[in-house]
Amino acid sequence: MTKRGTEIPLTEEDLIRYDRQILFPPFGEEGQRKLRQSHVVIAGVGGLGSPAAIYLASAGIGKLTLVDSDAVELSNLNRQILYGEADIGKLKVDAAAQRLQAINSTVDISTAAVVLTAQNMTELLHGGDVVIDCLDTMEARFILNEGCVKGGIPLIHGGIHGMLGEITTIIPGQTPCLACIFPREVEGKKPFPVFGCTPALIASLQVMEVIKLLVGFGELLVGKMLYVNGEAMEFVQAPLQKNKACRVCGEDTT
Amino acid sequence: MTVRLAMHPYFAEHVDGNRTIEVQGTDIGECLAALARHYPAIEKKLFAKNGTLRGYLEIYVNGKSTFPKELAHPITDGDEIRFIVFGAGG
Repeated sequence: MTKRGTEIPLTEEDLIRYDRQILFPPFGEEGQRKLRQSHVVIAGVGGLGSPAAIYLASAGIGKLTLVDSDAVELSNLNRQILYGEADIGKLKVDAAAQRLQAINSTVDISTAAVVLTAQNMTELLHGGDVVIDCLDTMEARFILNEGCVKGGIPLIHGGIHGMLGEITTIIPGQTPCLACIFPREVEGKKPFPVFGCTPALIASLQVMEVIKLLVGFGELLVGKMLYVNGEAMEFVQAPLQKNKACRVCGEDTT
Repeated sequence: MTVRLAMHPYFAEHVDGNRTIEVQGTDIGECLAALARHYPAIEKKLFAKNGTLRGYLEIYVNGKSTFPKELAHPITDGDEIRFIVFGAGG
């Protein structure tokens, strides 16, 4: 996963700053070096993307690419914790980059205030070691899924609704992709209910998957969907299957 | 045949909060029709106007996908039907 050139040694400041995570045996200094050399693309910096970006920046990720075409609105502020009242009207990626640089100035942050499309996907995902799906429509998520499958880039899918959340990790060529899981026609966007704590929880799980994937320890949430039901405080894993006839990753597409 | 429907929490308000519901039928279509007779409000959540399954859900039986002929998928006594639901909010 660490393909960003020569290894950069950790500084004394790094060893202090990241001490609490370096203390975790499966991670250690080697894990911190791997994070430093990794590039994560965050598709959507809203409810999920805000905490995902904050935790990755705080953990010392090397590079973040933030993709979102929206501007900050008042109705975002119950959950999109990168932003405050003074950010209303600003492009999310600009406000997010500013906030993230204030959290950790060592992170290389690039931004794209565009809608993800099949045409711009390759360029936007270029160089990414892993992509986090923090989008808010099924259509956009399917486009992102296809881009990741074609590019061979792991995708950490997360979704929310009210106090419900879901997450699965998609490894192209190995696991079911999003189009395997949901093979039917999708429907248009509707406003969805949500509390800030729901995307905070799911984004935290997405970042756990990213760290494990990049550093190479633990078990990934592959081939199954984890559903989190905050109302009942239940966590349920449901097995998923690849679809041989999948329109994105099926046998006829290779 | 009696089968167990593991109700996804997304549908909780439409099935009186029941986590699991037992229904009878010989295929998934019959089982879902039986469910909708008991809980009419769930029908619109499961089916589009043309009677096809909604795009945001998929149906697994005993952990196996039933795509593409979900509604005609035969079931046997004791099977577990589970919904995989796409929560697209972010």
